[in-house]
Amino acid sequence: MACWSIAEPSIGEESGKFRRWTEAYEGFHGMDFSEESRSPPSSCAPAREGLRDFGACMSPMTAFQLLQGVETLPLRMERHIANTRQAVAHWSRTRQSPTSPTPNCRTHPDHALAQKLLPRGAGSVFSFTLKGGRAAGRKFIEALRVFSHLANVGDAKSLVIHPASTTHFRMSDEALIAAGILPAPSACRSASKMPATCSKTSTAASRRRRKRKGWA
Amino acid sequence: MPDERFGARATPIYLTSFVFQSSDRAAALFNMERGGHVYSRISNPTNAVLEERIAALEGGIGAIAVASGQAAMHLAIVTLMGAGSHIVASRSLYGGSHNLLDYTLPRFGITTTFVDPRDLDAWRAAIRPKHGCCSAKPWATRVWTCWTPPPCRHWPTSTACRCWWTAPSPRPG
Repeated sequence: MACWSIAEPSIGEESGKFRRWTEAYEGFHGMDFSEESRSPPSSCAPAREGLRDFGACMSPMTAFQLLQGVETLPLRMERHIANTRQAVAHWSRTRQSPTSPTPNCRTHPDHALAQKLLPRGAGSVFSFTLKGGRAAGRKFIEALRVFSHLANVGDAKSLVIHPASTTHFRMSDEALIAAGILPAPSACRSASKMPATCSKTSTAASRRRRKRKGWA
Repeated sequence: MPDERFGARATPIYLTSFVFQSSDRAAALFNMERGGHVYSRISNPTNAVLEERIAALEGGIGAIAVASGQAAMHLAIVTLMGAGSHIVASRSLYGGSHNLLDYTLPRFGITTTFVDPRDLDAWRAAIRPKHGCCSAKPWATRVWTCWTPPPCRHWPTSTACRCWWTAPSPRPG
């Protein structure tokens, strides 16, 4: 039995699962990952097959920068969460948001689970809907000064985005609703609340989609 | 710990390939009979330190550092699945991940069923015999759902299905 088996008992041959790891792999001269590898097959196989074949490796320069970043990660996360609490509190005071924007709020349906899993704070992202529809959303986003209008999380910069028209714009209205995202305004005109929006995308594809969805 | 040779306090950046001490050692490295680095396509000492620390932080048994989040997802999927495989995923994934699962992967014969992340019965019901993995973010970003993957022993074992979570398991901190 390989030394990693204690940590990953569910992968061994007797489990009948993961046969690609428990049978001879011709792409590695007949090697049996579960018996012969020095590390767990769940990390050995993606490295020896996946990294070899698909070019996903990280540059050592990037690894160094991440190592530097990880050293201060707890401090930065504390500040992220403290800033988020302030922003949410300010939002709640001034806008009276109809929904609980984050599991940090007591009224959020996942608050109890969040307290259990993430007792020091459930991240730094919160979401809300705006009354006043698309025009109000555009005005709101374009008036923000501290929050940049951009698409990627994980930066030290604060950002704002309208998912239905940007990051999630390829999803159907049904999929958006299932994911808890209000779709295009045309699909929710009967609702009293419409999503904040600020789409400036102008590619042909997005124009076609917006036309199809009755936005334009 | 400082590096033994020069006392470097930070992890040295190894932008280099690695010379084999002998032909036998080269063959042993390629054959995975010995631990060590061949070249950075597969492993690198700087990356290895990051991988060890991330695994320790997450309570994992190992980690692989890759160039992007998409690369990580791709590596997980191509390692676990092939044509005909099936994924069960949360409806509350990031839009880019949803695109990959809903529009791109079906071209390669890998299909996905999206379920309400809070409904554990829906996850169980969606698993098929040629199942590959379940994919979810424990904390979805755009619309907040907080969610935890159940231990694998609670999942059906009577079929030949393989159950693998591509989501990290959050631990009470």
